[in-house]
Amino acid sequence: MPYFSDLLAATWLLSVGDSFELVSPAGAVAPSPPAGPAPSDVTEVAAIAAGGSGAAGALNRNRNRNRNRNRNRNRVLGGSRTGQGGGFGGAQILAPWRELEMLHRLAPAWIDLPLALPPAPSGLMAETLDLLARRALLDTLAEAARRDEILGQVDLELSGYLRPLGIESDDAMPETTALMLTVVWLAETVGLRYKARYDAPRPSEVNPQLKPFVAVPGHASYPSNHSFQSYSIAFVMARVIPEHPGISALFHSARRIAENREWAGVHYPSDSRAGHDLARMMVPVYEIVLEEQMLRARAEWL
Amino acid sequence: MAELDAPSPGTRGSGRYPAYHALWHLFEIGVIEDPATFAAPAWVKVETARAAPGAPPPTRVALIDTSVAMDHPNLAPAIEGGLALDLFSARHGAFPRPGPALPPELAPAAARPAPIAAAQPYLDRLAEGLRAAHAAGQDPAPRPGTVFPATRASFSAHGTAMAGLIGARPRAAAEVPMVGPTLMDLPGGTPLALPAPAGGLGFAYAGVDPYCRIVPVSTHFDPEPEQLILALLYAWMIRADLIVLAREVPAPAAVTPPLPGEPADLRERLSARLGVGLAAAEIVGWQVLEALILEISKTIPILCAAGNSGEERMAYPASLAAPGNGIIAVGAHASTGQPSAFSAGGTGTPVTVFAPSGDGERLDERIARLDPNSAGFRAWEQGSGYAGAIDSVPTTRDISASTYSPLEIVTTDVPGRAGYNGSAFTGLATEAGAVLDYRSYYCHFSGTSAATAIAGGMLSLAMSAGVIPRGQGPLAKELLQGPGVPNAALATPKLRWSRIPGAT
Repeated sequence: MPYFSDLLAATWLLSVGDSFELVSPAGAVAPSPPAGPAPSDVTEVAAIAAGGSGAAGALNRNRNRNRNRNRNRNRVLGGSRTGQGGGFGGAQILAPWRELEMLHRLAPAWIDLPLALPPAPSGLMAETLDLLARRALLDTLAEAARRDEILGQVDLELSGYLRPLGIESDDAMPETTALMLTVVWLAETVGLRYKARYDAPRPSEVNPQLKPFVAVPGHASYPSNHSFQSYSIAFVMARVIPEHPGISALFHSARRIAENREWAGVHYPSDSRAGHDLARMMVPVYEIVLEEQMLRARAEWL
Repeated sequence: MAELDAPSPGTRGSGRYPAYHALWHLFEIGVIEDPATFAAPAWVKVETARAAPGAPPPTRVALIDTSVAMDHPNLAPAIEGGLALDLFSARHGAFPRPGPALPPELAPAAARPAPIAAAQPYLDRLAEGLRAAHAAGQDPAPRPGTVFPATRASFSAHGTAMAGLIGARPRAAAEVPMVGPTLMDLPGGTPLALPAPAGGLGFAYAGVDPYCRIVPVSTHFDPEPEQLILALLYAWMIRADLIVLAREVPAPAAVTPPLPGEPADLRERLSARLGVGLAAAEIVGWQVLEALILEISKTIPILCAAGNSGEERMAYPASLAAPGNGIIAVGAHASTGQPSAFSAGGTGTPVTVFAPSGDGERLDERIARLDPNSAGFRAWEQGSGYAGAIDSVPTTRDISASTYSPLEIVTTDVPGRAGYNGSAFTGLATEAGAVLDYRSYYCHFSGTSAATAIAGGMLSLAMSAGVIPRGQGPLAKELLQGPGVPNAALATPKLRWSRIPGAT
């Protein structure tokens, strides 16, 4: 009989309600390990033996969804900062000081990511031709909805990230919302640092014929922080709930928010691309800095 | 005046389910035969084949999924850590556990042309990127230009569940020692003693093929074709024997045809539908991906999940399964033998094979199947439209005759707080990194993902036993499927060891 069969005959793993029990069936004999070198990857596991304390067993059956989730988190502060009606009233969080501290302690892991260099001025000028064409289209009736979107997306507005996941208000999934707000905050500090490094001019500086639809921010163009922040949310959520069928839609929404800044004439396509690439490369850092929040957000979906 | 009584709620679920063996699916598919001895003739066959002179190396399974909790005691011996590759964060891959030497499969000397010419540029970039990533991975400290892998165990639930079903190893008590709880003295100092923990309890969980080697290839979920092209090419480079790809890919080929008034051009039409500006190169990339899947599957069978939509139409790329290619579309059947309520697949492009999984509740014109034992079930809240006919074949009005199966698949889970089955203990890890709760090492799992992993394990087992030859995708599919005409309504053919010619 194979050793594996002997092991399975000696200990049964049972599914009991939400949880599991290891039990020793009647008459079972623990097999001796086969001759040969000792397994090298021994793990010490402190566990409560099956059939032990009933109280401890019950405790172990607590699942994430029952845990007190109200402590030690960045509360979503409600409020209607922007005066908009509806479910996305401008949620805010307190400064994520602990996460910012961790982010900066990990700076060596993100300070020099292999982001492509921005195009040279001639390349930037070439990209403005496409922007000019889209800027003209933006004034047409067909793009009226996009104009509204662009105005609504000048400041952070979460509907573009929550709706693809089926959430219709800031407070329906508070941990997920708080996670997104924290991601945006962290990404802003990282993005500004990369912007300062390249100090790329905005499209309307390179091509004065381009009249931006919204105010041109006072900082450098490359990479696009709208893109970087949006894709940071999408990539982080792809780690938190990769099983969610709305993840593709979330990426498309992030992409549209990034592209809307091109339509508005304040970013080049290469800025958007860089924001995407930076967000993707930042995920190993995010999943350490934001591990607690990501697990709490995931618990909302399990 | 007597007490006012509540109206009778009628039949109501008790929520009390019987316990069941975590490995019921291994009995179901005929890998384990005897519940007393756990006799597994298939495993005997593998051990015999491995002992023969000139035996081939263990079957190598490329698992294209999320990352995997590689230190799980049941998984650690199954994972080829040195080859594990992450494509989430770094465009051309990052190695979470690189060995000191470049794996020979990735050396320039081992290079071979891409399966299709259009994929050659991708393969060239990948090969170069992998060598650079391996060199960078030798230094644990961040170096300029290093992108770390995004493979933290906390966010590896799906891949960990998949890997366990394919190839988890049972571990003996001596290999994974368990420590019982310590008990505090009563106030005043009176000691209390617990009986010693039951001795000899092992980490008793097994995948279908506990002899295979699994290479996790983790991916992100940005709907773009390149990372899946690279993931498939990586499986090609490392000469995987089979690929498990239990995810829906949002490829343009999977969408509905042009509607009246829509642009005929695919790129324009998709851009308008998705609200983004797709580039022509992206459309070409999706076409390369499809051609690559089809071509690679001719030598490396690819197991794909039929999808959890419950539709006739299968998810892409499972929908590409056809005679002549090695794409294996896996549907799910419940412990009762019926198709799982969520399992996609109909008559058009039939499911290749149905494998065990959980079931679902559903109430529509095709399937009326509810769980009358659920604690939330109240007969009086149900409409008259189905009037208790909660059977998929509405021949009875007896609620107790529902065919809903409460059994789910059990598999390995991320230990500790994370995963599908989180522990209540948030920070009580020992110095060895283990948590105080073996229960969190296992979870319930379902969907056509679970079925796909089980079918992948079965194919791997047949290759390990020498029953199904390696390197021939269409033949592997045919042998795994066995004889008979597929019937989605009956969830046939079912995955069974005995149906593979020469297995018994």
